Amino acid sequence: MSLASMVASMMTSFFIFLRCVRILAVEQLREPIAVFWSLLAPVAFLALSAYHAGGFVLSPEQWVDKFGMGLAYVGITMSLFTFGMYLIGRRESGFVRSFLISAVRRRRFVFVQYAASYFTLLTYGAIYGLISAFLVEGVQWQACLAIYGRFALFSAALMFGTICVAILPLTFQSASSVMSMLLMVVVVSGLAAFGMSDNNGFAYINPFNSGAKFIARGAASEILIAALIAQVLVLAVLGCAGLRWQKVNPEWSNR
Amino acid sequence: MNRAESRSTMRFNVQGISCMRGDRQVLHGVDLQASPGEIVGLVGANGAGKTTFFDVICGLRIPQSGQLHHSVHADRVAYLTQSITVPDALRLGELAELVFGLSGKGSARELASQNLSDKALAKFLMLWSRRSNSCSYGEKRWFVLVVVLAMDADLFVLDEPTAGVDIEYRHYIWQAIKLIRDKGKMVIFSTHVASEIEDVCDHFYFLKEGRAQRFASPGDFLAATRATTLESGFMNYLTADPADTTTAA
Repeated sequence: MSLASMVASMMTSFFIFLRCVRILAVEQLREPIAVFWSLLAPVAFLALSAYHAGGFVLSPEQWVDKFGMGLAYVGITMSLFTFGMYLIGRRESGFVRSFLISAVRRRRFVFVQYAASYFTLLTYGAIYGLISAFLVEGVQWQACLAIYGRFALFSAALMFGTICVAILPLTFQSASSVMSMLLMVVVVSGLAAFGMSDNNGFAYINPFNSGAKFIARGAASEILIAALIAQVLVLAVLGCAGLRWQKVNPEWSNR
Repeated sequence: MNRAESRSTMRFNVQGISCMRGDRQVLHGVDLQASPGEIVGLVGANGAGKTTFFDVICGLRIPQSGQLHHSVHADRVAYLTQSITVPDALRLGELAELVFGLSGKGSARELASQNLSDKALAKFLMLWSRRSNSCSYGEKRWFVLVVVLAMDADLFVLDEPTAGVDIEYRHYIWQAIKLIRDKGKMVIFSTHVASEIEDVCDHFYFLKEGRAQRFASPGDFLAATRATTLESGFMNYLTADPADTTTAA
């Protein structure tokens, strides 16, 4: 095969990939089921924090940590409830079993769904950032871009790790319950750990805490860097396991 | 390629498939053969193991024993499952584009149109831009079947393709399946409708208590079951002692 035909073939595959991503992204935007939990909750959190601080706006110092927490929350909820639930839902509907018989097609589907959900996640993060801009004074746009970039990195790793839900023998309903419980545990224990010292390693075991700190302040300490590397490795292993051993048959098929 | 030419190229041959579901033995050494350009039926009572058998031959379930001697690669099998839910937020055309995109193939609309008559094509294009939640079950079922039949495959496995579909769409479904057969493809389908066995099958299998019995024609089946109609033959076969039906066939 000549170089030109190889490039043409790769371009065709890329455009087909983009077309599939567009279809799934549009589907998610048509049914924005995650808006309430993923977007309104952290906006309300910021607004209440501003009110608690005695006004309608936050100082940049107050805002950055709370905004980091909000974005980490958006990353976690979107990964679990948008991407994770779509993976389970596609299996539950019989879509995977009917149309994705070969392992190559199933992997292709996971990457397409990943890209579409990631696009939606970034959109939600940007909307959250725009809304929260009304609650803060004097923040430079360069700082905002850096925060958004770190949010994109954190969410990419977290969403990749979420692929492991495809292995779990769960119906759509039970998956929804399990993820709600998981989210509650992560957020409640995370909020409790925010009072810990930055030098305490336990403060970063929960990805909500390490993610929020990383998004807000970057790689601020060696302990945080170590925690982030360990978490990224675990998420990479979980994601690869999900790609390798994803279940095909819906739970109702007694598989 | 016409039917006669295609027959020489490959053959689908399954032997001695046994499969458990939980602690229940669902299939006991099932054999099935199909050649290119053939439509093969599979009948049996509810719970007889038809779907389990289809899952096995599509590589989605691992049998306890048995062999699949066929030259059809997993990528060359298209499977219409008994139940499939089209996401409400998708247009049917988007579903088709997605399926073809994930298969790395070209335009879904163009490929699907090739298996349709003018009237069926008009229906297909009308459904193309409609959201799933505004279509009836029968319309979705037929549309999904057309998409499955348009896939670049050698073996088409269809689990009750006409279940819940009205007379008009059933007519279009068989029209499309016969066209696939005429292109030299193999089609294996399950059904509970006696007339479908009579009208379209080249031969068929009756699955009972995990064992499949081959019948070359409806006439053979009627003779084996001492019945005058397929419906009564099905009843005779289902209610007979297993040893009697095997011997009779």
